[in-house]
Amino acid sequence: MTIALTASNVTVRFGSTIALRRVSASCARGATTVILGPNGAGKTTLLRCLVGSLRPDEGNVTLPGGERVHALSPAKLARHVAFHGQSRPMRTDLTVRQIVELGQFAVGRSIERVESVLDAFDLAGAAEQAFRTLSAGNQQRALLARAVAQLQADGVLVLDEPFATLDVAHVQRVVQVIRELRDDGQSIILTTHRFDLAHALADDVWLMRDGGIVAAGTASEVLRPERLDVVFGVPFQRVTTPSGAEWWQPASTSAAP
Amino acid sequence: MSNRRSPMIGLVVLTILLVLMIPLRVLIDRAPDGSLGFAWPEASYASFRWMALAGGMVVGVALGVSGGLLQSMLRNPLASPYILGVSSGAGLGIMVGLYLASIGRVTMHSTFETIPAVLGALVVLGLVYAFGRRDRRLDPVTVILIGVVISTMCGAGMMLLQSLVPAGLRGEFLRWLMGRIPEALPMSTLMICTAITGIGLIWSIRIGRAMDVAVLPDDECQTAGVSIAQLRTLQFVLAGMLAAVAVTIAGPIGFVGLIAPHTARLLVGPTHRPRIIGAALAGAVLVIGSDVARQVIDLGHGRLPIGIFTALIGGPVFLWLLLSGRAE
Repeated sequence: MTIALTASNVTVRFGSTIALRRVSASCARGATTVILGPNGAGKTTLLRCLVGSLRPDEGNVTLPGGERVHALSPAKLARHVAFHGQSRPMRTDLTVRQIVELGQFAVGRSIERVESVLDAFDLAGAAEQAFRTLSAGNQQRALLARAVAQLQADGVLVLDEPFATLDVAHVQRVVQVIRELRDDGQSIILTTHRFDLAHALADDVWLMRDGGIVAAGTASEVLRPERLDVVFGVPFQRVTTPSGAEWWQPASTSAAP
Repeated sequence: MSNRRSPMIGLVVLTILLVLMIPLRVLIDRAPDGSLGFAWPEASYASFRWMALAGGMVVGVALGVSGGLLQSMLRNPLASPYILGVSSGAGLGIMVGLYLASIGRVTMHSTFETIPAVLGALVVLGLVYAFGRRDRRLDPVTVILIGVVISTMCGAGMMLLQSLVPAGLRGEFLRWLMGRIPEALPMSTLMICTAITGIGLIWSIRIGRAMDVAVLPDDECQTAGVSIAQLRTLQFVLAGMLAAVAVTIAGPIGFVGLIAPHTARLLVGPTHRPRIIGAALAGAVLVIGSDVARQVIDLGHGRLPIGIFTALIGGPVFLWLLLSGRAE
């Protein structure tokens, strides 16, 4: 297995709170890694360390060549890692196209790339619209498109809750984009609370709780009901689709009202 | 709604307005008997008008660009150059100078107001920078809070010293506090201020694309290739330097640094390179235009402070731009 990013003994403290405890994990190149865990498990903190925007108090995150991500200049790092977080931009009159173009600040401008990304995220019709006039879901798509426009060959796309505000149709659209990127050999790391999407997308799953990874492996290895019950504190039940796919998800989410 | 407009149209409009203001400031003449004239000035006082024009240009550009930098850095559309406490620091510096002069029974020449004003502004900038950092970078909310707290403390210091200095010196200070575009300024001061403003303008244009990226949240900005810590430090230093230049020449002239960047945004668009140029032009138009209005309008008590005109002219124009943009 070729490695895209490696976290070694990463510890992060916020005052007296330990957000990450000696986390070690490797993200495979050309694979989709899904991080699951309850609120406060440390998922976002881990992502911030992986993309070099948060320097661990102990440990390192390294690229395949051994370079520590937080020691790279932002301009160099931008060629290896593209990130979409949960925060929203400041109020701006920039258009959707201009927002997507921001992804190419450090990697060189490509109009074709911007156009193809706008198409991929179903944003071509809204390209000249002011970003601030979009709905929350459409803003999220524009910001996801910006991160994808930055992504270089052999780069790692890191997405924190990419489906949080999307409607059903656009969840499918974004899932499709992620699959195509993975099929092209790109590496993707994402967090989500959607177990169905985790099953649909994940080559690897990292299950987190209390600042640590409690299990890592394929979805079927990691997402076992006895483990999920303990980690999330709610009962899980098996879901089977007509196509035969099955996964475990919280019993309450599929219960009739 | 299409939001893409050519920045060039707005820049041309602002440039034309500025070009129109320049001859007005030079040619309008208010004679000692109060009569208004319109003629090329005699050689004996032409230099005063050119000096006022140059000073107004530098102050307007410095305030416009400084405001644009700070509104980006602090992620706050209400930010103005004085939010960093520069004017109150300069004011306290002058009051301290006046107080020390009164103790030593020395007459403080107006030229020497500049030194305590610059020192006061720089000390306050240093304090805001030192206390405004979190996680090894300037934090917008912390900078605003520290700036407001230090400004308030400087204000209290000014009031305290006002009650300690002789009444005659208080008038000197009040004159400074109202702001003015001086017609007599040491050439060395003007040259230094022009050079600093030119460097500040060019550097601000250079970091324009990075400022575009900085509309993104900090983590995305960093991973898109912009060092947010370096960018904010640069914006802070440039904005503080430019505000100090403006205060050195003109004292605290309100409103320009707040509305010039917004006027530029409305006329030129949201990307920062043209917007910074637009803010420089809008600032110069507003300051020189207000100085022209100041020559024309006489209510029988001599020329009014320029700050009145920057607010009375700039405010309605800005509101019109804002509301017509919203209607569109």
